[in-house]
Amino acid sequence: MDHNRNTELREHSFWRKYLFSTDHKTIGKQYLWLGLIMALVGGILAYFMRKQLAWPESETLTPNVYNAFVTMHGTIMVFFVAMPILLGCFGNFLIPLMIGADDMAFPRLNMLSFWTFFVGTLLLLLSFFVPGGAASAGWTGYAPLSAKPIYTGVNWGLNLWILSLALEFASVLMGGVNFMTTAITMRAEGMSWFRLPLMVWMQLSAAIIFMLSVGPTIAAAVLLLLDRLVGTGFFVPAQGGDPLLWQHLFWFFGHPEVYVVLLPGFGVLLEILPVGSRKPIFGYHIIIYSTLVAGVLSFIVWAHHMFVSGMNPNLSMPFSITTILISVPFAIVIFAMIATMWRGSIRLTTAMSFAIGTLMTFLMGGVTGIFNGSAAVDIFIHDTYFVVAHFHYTLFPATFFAAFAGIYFWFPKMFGRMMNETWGKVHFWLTFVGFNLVFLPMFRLGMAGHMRRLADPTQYNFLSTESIKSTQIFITWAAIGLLIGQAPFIVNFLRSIVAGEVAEENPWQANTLEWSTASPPPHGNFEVRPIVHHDPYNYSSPDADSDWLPQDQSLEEITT
Amino acid sequence: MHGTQANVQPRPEFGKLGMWWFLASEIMTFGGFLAVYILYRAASGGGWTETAEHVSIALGSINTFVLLTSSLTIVKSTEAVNQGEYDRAKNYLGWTILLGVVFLAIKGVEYTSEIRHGFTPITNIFWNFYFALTGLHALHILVGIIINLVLYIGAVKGTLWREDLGHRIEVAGLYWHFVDIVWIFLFPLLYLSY
Amino acid sequence: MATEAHDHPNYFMVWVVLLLLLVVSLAAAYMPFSQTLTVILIFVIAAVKALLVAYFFMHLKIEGKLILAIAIVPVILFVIMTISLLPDIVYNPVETATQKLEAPKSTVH
Repeated sequence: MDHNRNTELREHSFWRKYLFSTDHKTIGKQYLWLGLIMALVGGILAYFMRKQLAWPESETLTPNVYNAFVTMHGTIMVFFVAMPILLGCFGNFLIPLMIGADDMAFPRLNMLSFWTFFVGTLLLLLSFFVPGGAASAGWTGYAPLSAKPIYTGVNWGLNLWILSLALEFASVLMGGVNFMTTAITMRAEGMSWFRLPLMVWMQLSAAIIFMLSVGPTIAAAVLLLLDRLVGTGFFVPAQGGDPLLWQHLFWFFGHPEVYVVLLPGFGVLLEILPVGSRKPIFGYHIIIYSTLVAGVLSFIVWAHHMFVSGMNPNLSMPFSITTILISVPFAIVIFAMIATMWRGSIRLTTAMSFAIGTLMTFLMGGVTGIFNGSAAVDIFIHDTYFVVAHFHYTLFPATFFAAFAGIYFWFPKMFGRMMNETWGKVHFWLTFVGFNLVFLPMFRLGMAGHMRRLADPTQYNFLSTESIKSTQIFITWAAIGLLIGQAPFIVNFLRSIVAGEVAEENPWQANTLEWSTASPPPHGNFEVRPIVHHDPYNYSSPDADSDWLPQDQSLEEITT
Repeated sequence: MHGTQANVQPRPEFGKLGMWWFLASEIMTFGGFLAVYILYRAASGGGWTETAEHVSIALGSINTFVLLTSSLTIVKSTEAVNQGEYDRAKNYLGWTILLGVVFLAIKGVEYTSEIRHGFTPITNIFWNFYFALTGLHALHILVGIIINLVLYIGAVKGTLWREDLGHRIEVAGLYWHFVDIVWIFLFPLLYLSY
Repeated sequence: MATEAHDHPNYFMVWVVLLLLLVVSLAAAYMPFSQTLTVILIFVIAAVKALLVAYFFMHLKIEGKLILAIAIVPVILFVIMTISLLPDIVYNPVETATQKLEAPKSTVH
């Protein structure tokens, strides 16, 4: 009964092979395409928002449309770009390969999870075109604004938003079941828990965190939908509802969710940095334990999003304490990453550049999180551009820099060809510089009291000063530069798929199991099921001749 | 395939493990619903008692009996599968489906009567909860019935046994027991505690 | 593995106990206890019933630590979440919307 389910060489039609495939590698690539296309959509939304903010007199976007764009930009970037690329693509593609398995535990469930996600994406895009337009109550959907169509003027746009998120949640839950069961039951011989690549640990932690946190938000979303469609009053004060409860239920999930997005990003870094430094990971165990601690803590920090919401003030201090506490395990992981590079033999590929860039920018983002986490400070900066800058300095590196790092790194394994390194470096510098030019000034705007989600800042005198206006214009030009800077990536990515230099099995001379098979791997991944002899980070081992030592090669094999 | 797969467990264990992960997320989801209900109820200071007395404790009790019994029948079905008694397993599964349908029928009777007496899903916040919570639970029962029905058909045709898929009844049973446990809490929350 | 050869609990007896507990909870609801005592009693009984179903019918009695953890952690998390929200939703000194009931809208009786 123990046959390899994927090596049956049936002649598949185009549909079975590329669209309705159960092969985790194809599904991973499907998620990648979806995420990248949605990234373009999210970026275009941002362009129009920036144009409106720099030149409000142009009335590029009316306030209602601006609200819709803000909402959809956030929703798309978090749920339809970060999740599919970091979890859907990297998780699906890499987990079976890295543990030496032939596919996921439930390949058909995996296919279902992608198509569920796809339908959710379609619903979300559809919501732009329904009467009333797209959802406009913020990606956080606060009640009571979101609870009755008459408050926003948006009817089916918001309903579709809720439905598309429900499908997205279902898809990620299905994926999580696959990740967990596969990692627990299908590891190759010799692949003990503490010989797993850190990417796998990160994906599993993310899956567990998501799975445990999303429930209350699903409940809240259903109740919100009932409020909108049936006329119940769960979040409507006039009918006995409490809008604050929506915030609690949303953020109970919303906060762990940002770590669900962050951890796979860290996973990318933790795989690339040792390879690019030719050094073992510093503190493999410490990183794992810190991540688990951070995961647990992530469940008890959520109300730091609600310090000024009117919630019981006695809750402010405990949540401030836990929020500041959670920076400790993450700092440990960051230090471990830096220590990994310390005195290493750095190979500055594009992937390595993006990895280092992620580290630098995320560090700044994380530090500014501490400002926000202190309730007393948050009273001044809540709902200002300081917060916007903070979360872009954390989410953008985790989502985009880390995603780009991962794409440049695993492209050869996914597509069997190399991306162009020169254009990759160009892309890196344009993105890195562009990003900082866009978001660094926003800290200053926030300190000046500039509110967020404001279509026309010039309606306020204090936001109409030359200083503020010129800063907004500067940021917009930088944003246009950042967007244009993605062109080299788009061209490079598309061109390399068909015309890139053919890749060898292990172009980066890395140790993890995916590099011990062909590029791209065949159906079933491994001709011969690998046997694991040691941990994945044996770089520059004094016992070996070369500076890398694949997991499935024992020391005896190469030294004798 | 060469190289032993020391960690690979037999596929029945995959199904159980996968179902438990799913149930964990469902615990959090229904937990979310219950938390909202409990919190609002606690804050209402007893104001819901009068309107809540219009639920039928009798029908609710019968439904509790029905679901508890259906949990018995599906676990007996699993026991029969393990003992190789496929006919008995099939019959117990059939009883489970039947009892599930009875549950939904009684629920329908309750809803009809309540709406006829003027208590609709939008009457007031208690009835918001009553219809939302029991409605979602009923949806879960319906899904469970469908799953069990698919397995039942496989049992009748014999394909379930020929392809050694009898362990799926146990996995479906886990889902069914979970939905039963949700009702075990919904019953006192909505019916008994007023 | 574990599913093949374990001592089956007497499922029938467990069912009988569950039904007895149902009767007890019904009786408790009609006893002249205070509201608080009634609610506590009913919930303890419900929890015991749930535990019986989980332990015997869902075979948690014989499952390994992993599945036990998967089953128990969300329950604990749910309890922590609900308790954390009590200060804000139930005992919030700030004047917010109440969960008090309005008079039911006029409906056909």
